[in-house]
Amino acid sequence: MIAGPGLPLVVDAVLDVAPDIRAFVLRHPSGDPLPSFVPGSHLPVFCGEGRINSYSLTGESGAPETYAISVHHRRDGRGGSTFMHALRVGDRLACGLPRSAFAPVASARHHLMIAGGIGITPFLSHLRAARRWGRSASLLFAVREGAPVPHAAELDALCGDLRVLRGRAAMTAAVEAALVDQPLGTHLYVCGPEAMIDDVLERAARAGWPAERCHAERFGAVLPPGAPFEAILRRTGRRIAVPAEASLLDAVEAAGIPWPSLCRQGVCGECRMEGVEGTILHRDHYLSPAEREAGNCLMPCVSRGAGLITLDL
Amino acid sequence: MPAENPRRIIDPMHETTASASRPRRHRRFVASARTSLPTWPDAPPPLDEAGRGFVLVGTGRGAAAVLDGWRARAGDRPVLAFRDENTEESGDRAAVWLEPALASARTGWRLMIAAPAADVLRLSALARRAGMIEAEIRAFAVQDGVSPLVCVHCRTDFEAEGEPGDEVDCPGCGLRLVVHQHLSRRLGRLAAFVADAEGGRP
Repeated sequence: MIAGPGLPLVVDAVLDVAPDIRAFVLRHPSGDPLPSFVPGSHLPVFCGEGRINSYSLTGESGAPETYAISVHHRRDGRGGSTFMHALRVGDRLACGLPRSAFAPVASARHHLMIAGGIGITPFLSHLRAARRWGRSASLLFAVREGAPVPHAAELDALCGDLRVLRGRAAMTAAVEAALVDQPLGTHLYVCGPEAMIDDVLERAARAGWPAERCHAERFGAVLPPGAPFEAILRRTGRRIAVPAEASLLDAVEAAGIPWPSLCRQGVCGECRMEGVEGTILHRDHYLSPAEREAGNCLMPCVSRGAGLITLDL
Repeated sequence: MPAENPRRIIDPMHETTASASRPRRHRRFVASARTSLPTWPDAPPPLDEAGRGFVLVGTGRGAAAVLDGWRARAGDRPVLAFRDENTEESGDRAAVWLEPALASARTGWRLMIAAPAADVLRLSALARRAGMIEAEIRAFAVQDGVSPLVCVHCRTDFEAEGEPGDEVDCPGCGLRLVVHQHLSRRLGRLAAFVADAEGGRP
């Protein structure tokens, strides 16, 4: 389910920006203007069969007439991107309202953006805002050897300090050099494959960057199954089993209890559960270290319990 | 943060009478844990080992020894340092030195200040204006001095002996002011407003 008010949209244009990467322009069926959004926001899109994928909005963030998203076709994925790539002009889509989880910091003196592959998408709206507000920004963009650069023309027009890097070694060298030569007050933004994000954040920490300056947007990776465990529902006394290959969220829903959720990958924060007791195995990217430490809330879409946990349900 | 300085806790029920020697304390002040007042550590904080480079500033008596300790811990990491223990204008001179130093420092560096409280407030305000955040600034107030104040009525910046709750005269507009327990981190000054504002005075 999509929490909050939904937004029905219709596909206005489809165009291929790179092999396997297709851009969609969406508009309101009545032609009404769409809600403004914070740069870096994503749009929850209902992709059939209960799947909700989140795609970064790549267009103008202020009073837009259309929304634009770019979708990488992942043939080994859960089917959401296959559904998207089958869309034609005129098709209708059920969407949620844009959600901000990767906003530029307005007080930053400079914005250092690091993107890998399809991780470029949130930076398109960042760069538009940077241009509009006269913010200083530079972008390092890792693109696979031999692959075309998605959104190349737009990026050229939007960013005066863009470097496209081919291959891991070139990217690593550029990141290392950038992290030790930014003016005071720079904020770091990174979006791309999980391993790249972890690598950049680790290098930033080693170069003395406080965590407050480092911002990451993760796609959410496919997690390995965990050990089976059980959950007691405190309010009803029911006991539900969570098998290895199912999430706690799956098990709660299978028990007939509706619970809000969105990304189901431990990223968006929608399914947060409070009042949990027992040993929690956190596997999300949402909760802060302090919240994990407190040990009384979890993201049931990815996180699990050890042995037996108690839920406030 | 270190434990708060008990000197700053003022019992809201405690009332003292005004006298020439001891200014009257304001009755409604709350414990500093709930205000924007800085809390100063009792001993110099250690060098922030996470830093990749350092800007070190020391003014006032005792600052040199603190700076030497920090510099030793920095090892072979880059350090830009300023110290001036003796002159009246050491705070001004430090401020003039600090701006270009911060321009040449890079993200990942830390600022460490050992100075009288007024200089700490002023220099860290400069650093914030240059883009630094709290996580990048550590300070040690080496001696108590005068407080940097701003009159909220005429916006005059001035220095005076006086802690939150004390009354002082504004050199700009002449109003009798009470030093409020609010620090403007942007200005590096405590706000002061007219004493007995509710007392029916014109």
